[in-house]
Amino acid sequence: MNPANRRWTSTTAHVCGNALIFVALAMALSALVEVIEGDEAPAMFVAAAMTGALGVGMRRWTRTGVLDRSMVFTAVGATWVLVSVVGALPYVLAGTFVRDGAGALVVLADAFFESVSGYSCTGSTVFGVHNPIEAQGSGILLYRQLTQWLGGMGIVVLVVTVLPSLRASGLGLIDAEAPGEGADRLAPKVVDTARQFWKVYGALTVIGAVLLLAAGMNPFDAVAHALSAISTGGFSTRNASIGYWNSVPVELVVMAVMILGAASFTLHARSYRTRRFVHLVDPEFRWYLGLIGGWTLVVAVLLAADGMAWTRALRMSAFNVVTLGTSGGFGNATGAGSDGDFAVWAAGPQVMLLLLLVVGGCTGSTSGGIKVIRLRIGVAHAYRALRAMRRPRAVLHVRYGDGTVPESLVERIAGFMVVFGMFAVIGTVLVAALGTDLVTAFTGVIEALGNMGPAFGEAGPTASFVDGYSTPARLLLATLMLVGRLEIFPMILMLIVPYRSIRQVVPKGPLRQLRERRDQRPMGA
Amino acid sequence: MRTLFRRTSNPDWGSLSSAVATGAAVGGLGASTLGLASGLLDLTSSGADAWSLLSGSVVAGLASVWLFRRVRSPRRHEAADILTGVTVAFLGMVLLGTLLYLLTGTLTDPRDALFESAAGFSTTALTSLDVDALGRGMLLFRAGSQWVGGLTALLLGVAILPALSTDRELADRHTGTGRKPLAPSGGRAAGNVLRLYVGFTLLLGIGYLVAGAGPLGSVLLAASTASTGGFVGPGQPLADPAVQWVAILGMFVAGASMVILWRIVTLQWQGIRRSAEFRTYLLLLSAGTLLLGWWSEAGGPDEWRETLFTLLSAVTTTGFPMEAVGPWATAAPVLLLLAAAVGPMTGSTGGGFQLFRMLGLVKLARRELMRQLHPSLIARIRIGGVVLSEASVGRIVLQQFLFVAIVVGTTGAVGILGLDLATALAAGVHAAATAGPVRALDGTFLEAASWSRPVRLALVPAMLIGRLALYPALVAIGTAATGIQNRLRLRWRWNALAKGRDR
Repeated sequence: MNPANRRWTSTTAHVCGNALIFVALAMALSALVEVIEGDEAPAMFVAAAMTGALGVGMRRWTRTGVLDRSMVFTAVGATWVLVSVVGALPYVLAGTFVRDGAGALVVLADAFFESVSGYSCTGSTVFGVHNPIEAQGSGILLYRQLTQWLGGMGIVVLVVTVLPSLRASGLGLIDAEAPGEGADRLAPKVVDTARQFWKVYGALTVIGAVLLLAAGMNPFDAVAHALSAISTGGFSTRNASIGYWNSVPVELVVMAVMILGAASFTLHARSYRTRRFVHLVDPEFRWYLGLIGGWTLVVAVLLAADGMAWTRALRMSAFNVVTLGTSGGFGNATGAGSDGDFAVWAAGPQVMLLLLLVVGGCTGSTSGGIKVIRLRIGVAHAYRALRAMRRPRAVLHVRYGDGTVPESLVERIAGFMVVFGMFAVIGTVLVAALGTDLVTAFTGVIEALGNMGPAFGEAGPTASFVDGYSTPARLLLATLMLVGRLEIFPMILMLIVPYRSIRQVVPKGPLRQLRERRDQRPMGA
Repeated sequence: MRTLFRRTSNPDWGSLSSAVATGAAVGGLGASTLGLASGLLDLTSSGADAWSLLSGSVVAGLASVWLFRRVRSPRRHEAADILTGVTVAFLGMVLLGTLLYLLTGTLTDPRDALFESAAGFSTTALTSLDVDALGRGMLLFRAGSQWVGGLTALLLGVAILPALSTDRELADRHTGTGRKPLAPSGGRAAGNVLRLYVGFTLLLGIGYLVAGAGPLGSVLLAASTASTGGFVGPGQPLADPAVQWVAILGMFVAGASMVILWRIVTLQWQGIRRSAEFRTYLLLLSAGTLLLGWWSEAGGPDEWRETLFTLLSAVTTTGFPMEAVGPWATAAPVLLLLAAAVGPMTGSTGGGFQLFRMLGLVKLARRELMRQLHPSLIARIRIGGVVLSEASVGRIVLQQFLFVAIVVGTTGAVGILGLDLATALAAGVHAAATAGPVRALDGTFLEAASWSRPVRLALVPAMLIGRLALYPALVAIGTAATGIQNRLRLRWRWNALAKGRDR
């Protein structure tokens, strides 16, 4: 008998296993760096070995099967949850978050939070003054940056590059994981599409690292920040983030890399293939640049009106607009209360930044938020409904670029925005109920759903999330980060398959029997 | 005189111009009638404001009648033009109210007068007045403006919008059997609404009087409870538990749909039981009260009563002030702000987004979830057994979009003008939902008078648009914008033609 036939058919477990192998490789690479500079190399090697063993085991004893839509969501959702949980192992074993007065559960919760924040490219952190980032070894720091880099392009996309057996199902997986309205196919084969995405991603990371090196960072910091800038993650190797360097060239390079990360990677790949800069042909990218540019000017004017010098206002505005508009999440504040600390700005510029937290970058990018194209079509949809009031019998279409948007897409976008809003509202109530004030709770939930990074109030760019939120609230925010990273639906629908399985096993209750009997009754009976 | 008010024999006016003129006349008549009543009442006390109120109202009333007689309406009005007319009527009342505040000298700055008038007619519980310094006439005018604002909202929500087929399902005028609960036509529905509203206000007034609020206090409280306005007269009448109970009952009924009230009056109990929106209203009130009471560590019946009062005041967007019952939980302002934003039932005098629309959004979210699994799924959205048309679903999404846009825009504006983020957010939500008063994060009330004039002025558009259920105001703005656009386009074409001719 073929040994492959003895394997358990489960695409979910197979994809999870492969994803864990990549995570183990990232841990192993970080452990090697920790050997050079740091004390926690043994713990990291153990974490890598455990993760690797689990991944290899899952890959070895399972095989891929046919995927229907519910299975696709289960596979993608389960992979992200498992990777986030197992990804916390290095922090747990190295005791990264052990501090005075924090119990074991709090330490575990912090490790999970940092792991989720990394893989979902959110960039919120539980490091802070009480536990400075600078006190960690290089290996742990590199691992943090790698979590964002892996999560940026998508761990499932990475898995698809090495799993030709997925065939057409692979596109479904990429589609469920990719931000925005579906993934573009760059090549006839799904595997080739995934590989092209990763090649472009890798190339941009290298370019970013070289530019940061030229701008004045040391090699380690340059690589680390290139990893988290292209993935629009926002983790830094310094407590003060980019503010540590207080350098215009560094800020400009980070901004440029973040803007590239928040643009569609399909456009990057096409530009590379055609050797032409095709970005400006894309209406979403044009809108995106316009949005960033316009917002920068408005915030700069508001800051200047509030007493900041014009050049300084422009610099602070540009960096913070780009970092939040791309869902990057870096900060350029040199300290609490400094010019770059937007948590102490006046309410006007804060509200402008708050809007950016919701918007995010372009479809098919590494950024979070609801995406520019959805906002553009949502506004056009609203305007159409308003015009329909004046012309009730007119057949009005939503136009985008040179074409007309299909009604099914308009409805999907409207539905997504409604669901996003509901999660934001319910999340805010829950986080506030766990002991957080209105502003910190609301902005924390928005930034978690949009995978942005810093919030406002007590969790601003210079603060730690330990200061702003209780441990249960942080766990809730971590869950919302995962929900936001997969754009909500996959994380809910991943529960469909287990739910159906449970329904088959659990005996029918009287209510269900009654309902089934009612459904089977002929019409009119 | 007879010639002046004689109906003109000119040919019919255009749909838009006649709607706008009629709107202005109706608005002027509404505000001047209120002014007259207030002036007459003022004569019974000091009479300091009486002559200003009476003379201003008489002039405005005569001008309105003259305008009304001049209008020659066409046989049929466009729906958008009627909505524009309603907006103009509302704006007319607000502007006339502003003039009366200035004429009586109650407020000397036009910006303050505009804010106060807008807060009154939009039934927002924000005021910069010192109520203890007001005479009887002005007290009645302030509370009465809320009553008129509440009536406008009711007529708009229950009679005008459904008759124009723009919000038919939202006003619950169609049941599963196709029966229209209030009346077969918009005109009769408006009559029934007026009867119910007046009757309800009278009952409330009697209730307050029996509870010990005093004659004038009862009138003021009844007007502001029925309209969910939240204006309270001098002497803190709401401190009395008996008055509080009447207010609780009044706010509950005011937040329920007029259709529900009609069914109660006509003893159609089955319709009430079937109403999904009413069940949600009850659920929201119960769950909210329990949560707020739990967070505030409410123990005795008095504390639970005050908790229920606080929640009802927020949900119905009435805005009667009530100090924090116990320790102020961090989540309490979030819950109350959310309650005000969601608001009570459609077809009530309350503001906010309103429950029926919220239910529609929840169902829409559920359908989108199912469509992720089955992309070709064709599913209708049903609420309480009634299928919502896709056009209605689209309008609900639009309203959500507009509501959020107005809140964000107002928050940004007042933030730029000097409020901190938490206060700006609360002020933005309260203005758009026509609720109030605004609380600080620690639960204390913030006085609108302590904000700068530009901040208060920035809240006015949100209050007015929020009271007009968003749509009519935006349609009116759209009409004005289209008019300007067409005129510019015409001028551009004319110039182009002229250039061509010169060549």
